[in-house]
Amino acid sequence: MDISTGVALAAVGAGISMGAAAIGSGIGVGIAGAAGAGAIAEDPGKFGTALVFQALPQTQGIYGFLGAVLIMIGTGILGGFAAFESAATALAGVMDTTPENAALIMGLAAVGGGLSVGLAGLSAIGQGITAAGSIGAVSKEPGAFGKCMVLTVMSETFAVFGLLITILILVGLNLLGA
Amino acid sequence: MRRLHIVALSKYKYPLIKRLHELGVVQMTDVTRTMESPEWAQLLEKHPSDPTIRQITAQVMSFNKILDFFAAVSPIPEDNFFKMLFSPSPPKKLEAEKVHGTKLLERSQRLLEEVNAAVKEPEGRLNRLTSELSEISAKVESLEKIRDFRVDLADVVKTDHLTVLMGIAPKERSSDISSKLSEITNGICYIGSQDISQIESVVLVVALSEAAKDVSDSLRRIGFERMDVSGLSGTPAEALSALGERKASLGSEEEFLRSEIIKLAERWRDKLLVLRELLLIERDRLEVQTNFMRTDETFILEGWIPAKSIGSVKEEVLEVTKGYSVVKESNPDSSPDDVPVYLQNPPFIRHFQVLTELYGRPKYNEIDPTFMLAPVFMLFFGIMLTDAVYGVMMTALGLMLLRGGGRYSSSVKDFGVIFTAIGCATIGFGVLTGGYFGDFALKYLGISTLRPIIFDPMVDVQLFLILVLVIGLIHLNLGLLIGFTENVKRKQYKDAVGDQFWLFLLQGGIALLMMDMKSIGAVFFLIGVILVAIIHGPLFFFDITGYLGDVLSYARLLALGLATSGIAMTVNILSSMVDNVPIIGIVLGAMVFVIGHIFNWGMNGLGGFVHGIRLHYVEFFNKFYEGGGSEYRPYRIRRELTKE
Repeated sequence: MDISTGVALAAVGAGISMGAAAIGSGIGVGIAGAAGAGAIAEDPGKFGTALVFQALPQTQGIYGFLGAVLIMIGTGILGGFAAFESAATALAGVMDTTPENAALIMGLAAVGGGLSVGLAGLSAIGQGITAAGSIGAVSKEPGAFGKCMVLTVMSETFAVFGLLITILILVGLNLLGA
Repeated sequence: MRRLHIVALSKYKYPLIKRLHELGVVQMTDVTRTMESPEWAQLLEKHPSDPTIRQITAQVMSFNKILDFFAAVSPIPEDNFFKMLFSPSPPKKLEAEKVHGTKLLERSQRLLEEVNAAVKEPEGRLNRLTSELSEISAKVESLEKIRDFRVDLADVVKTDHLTVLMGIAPKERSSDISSKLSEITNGICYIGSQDISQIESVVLVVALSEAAKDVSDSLRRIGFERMDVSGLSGTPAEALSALGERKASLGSEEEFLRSEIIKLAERWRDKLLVLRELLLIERDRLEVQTNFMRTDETFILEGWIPAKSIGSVKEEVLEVTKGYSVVKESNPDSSPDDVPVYLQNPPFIRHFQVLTELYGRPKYNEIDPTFMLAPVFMLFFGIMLTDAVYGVMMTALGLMLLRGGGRYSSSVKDFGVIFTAIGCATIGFGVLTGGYFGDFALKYLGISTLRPIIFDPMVDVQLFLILVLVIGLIHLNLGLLIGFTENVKRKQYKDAVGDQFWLFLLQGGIALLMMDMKSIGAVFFLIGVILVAIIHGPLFFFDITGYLGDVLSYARLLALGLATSGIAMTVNILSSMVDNVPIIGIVLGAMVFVIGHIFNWGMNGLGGFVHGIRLHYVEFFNKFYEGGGSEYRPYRIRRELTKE
């Protein structure tokens, strides 16, 4: 059976997942890092604090990476196409369509999944802005560490939901867990 | 927490303060604020500040000065960050005599005189040496520039008739210098110069002393920098070698002096530190009295005391004052905003208090949520890290902290216990879901006994999702239940209904609807909605969506759990791919494996920690907890260096 279009679409999905999330994380980490450099210039002892806050906007990139890897495993780009073929056949049975068509649908689903976690990864930019502010706040008032941490983690909620929807799309269309 | 009031004869004041200081359970408060009414004002006057405080402060400052000098010459070694966490040096504890009052002041005055006598001379010598050495360095620096200039430095002098000036000027101004000087001195001067670099030249000027002032003024305007070569003789090269010898001999003298001072520091430092601490303790005892009020023969003090300590403190007070005192206790006022809060949690739970306090210490009369936070935080972290080996790593980190810094630092100990606990929870959840470096044990090592026991998170995603949402619902409802009982206890029935009870009805209604008891369910649901609409007004709709958002927020447990196992799986795939490279493959594969898993453990450990906290602060505490109480800070002796 011909699954090539489905797999190609899945590659697009994986690319969007990692690429868009990397933009978000890269910018977010950059914003936080600039604030961290400022804090370190005044007191090199603030390196640890700055590093923890700078690490927070990295998570979106990791989610994007995870989304891409799950898509690649689900469609056989990683690990071989046999499982993908049987999953497509199974889906075709449920949807009452041809396996080729099912593979195409699954490829499109992978694009959707990649868009979800990838675009949600742009939330790292906002998180980077909060993290930058938090680095300044904690440098002045070390007691505010926990509270600033919570403020910073807020942005990540949307990235988490983005990853969740990706996973649900992949599960719902037999790309994961079958 | 109760209020404590003590009235006693003034002659027992110091012994009483000393005993309370040693007991360390009473938090002193300012009496002058509670006794503001005119009747009290007639009877009582504010306790004056003790003049001895000044004397002590002056002594402490002298101590600090000497200790700073010692520290500058022989610094006290300190542990770096990692040593402090994992293998700190034991804190020094020194014997201290039991002296206080005037005797202590005399003792420290005597020590001060003794040490000053011993330190003054070497300190002065060291200062002279250092300044001479820096002078020599400056001279050497400028002489280096004119090393090849042929002049006898001894001739650069000022006599009654002749003045010789030597210095450095910008090279392009040398013609200016000669024209300017011959103009000022009518040609009665000698100018010698030699280029010493691309931009500078050394200039020697001989002029009549009567014109010297004009000459040096105009030279300065041209940019001539005069060199001070007083006390030097011979050519610059000869002078340099003489200075070098002098520097060496001064250097060895300085070294010797430093070793002498280090000996002095060894001899006196501990004594100074001990007495300084005793002086600070003494000052605490005098300063606290400004909170008191007094009459001619008596004084009154007030403070907060935990209810359980009242009996013993009462006995102690009566014993110290030989019965010449009145001890009263009372309950805090009805608006207990300033009542300090003393947290009491069982031994293990106590270490999680730090997480509660990060949000805010409970207010007086508010429930302390730590007993709930501890087990649930462990569970959440376990779900989010989902890997038995990562759990072992976490536990190992916790145990290392406990065995290291935890021995001496209570906050390191808190985190040691927390890490150990959440590590164990992670091991538990990892075993249940078959995560050992992700799918490494099962897929690559083929150990089939390590298969998932309840479910495989990467396969049964829907089951996992339902599980975490149910956990979220239970957690939220526990929060609601606590909030409800607290509101009922405080007789705030409107809040109890508007904040919590309507949600019970709403959720019950939905549950009944799903169980096919449509009519009762709909009634419950509607009553819930109507109640919140009445109490919270037109914006009630957002209460409902907000609660839905709270429940969905627990889905992050799933997302983070899958992220851990997904990335672990990816690391395994990557390292097995690299493993196929010929010859160096196995080394590369091992490197990818180790670094990848440590990275995943660190990032998702951090993620699990902050999201676990967040679920508590934002979703759970929101249902019943305010925080913002003040800390219980008993008046007690702060000993850092001395033994009891």
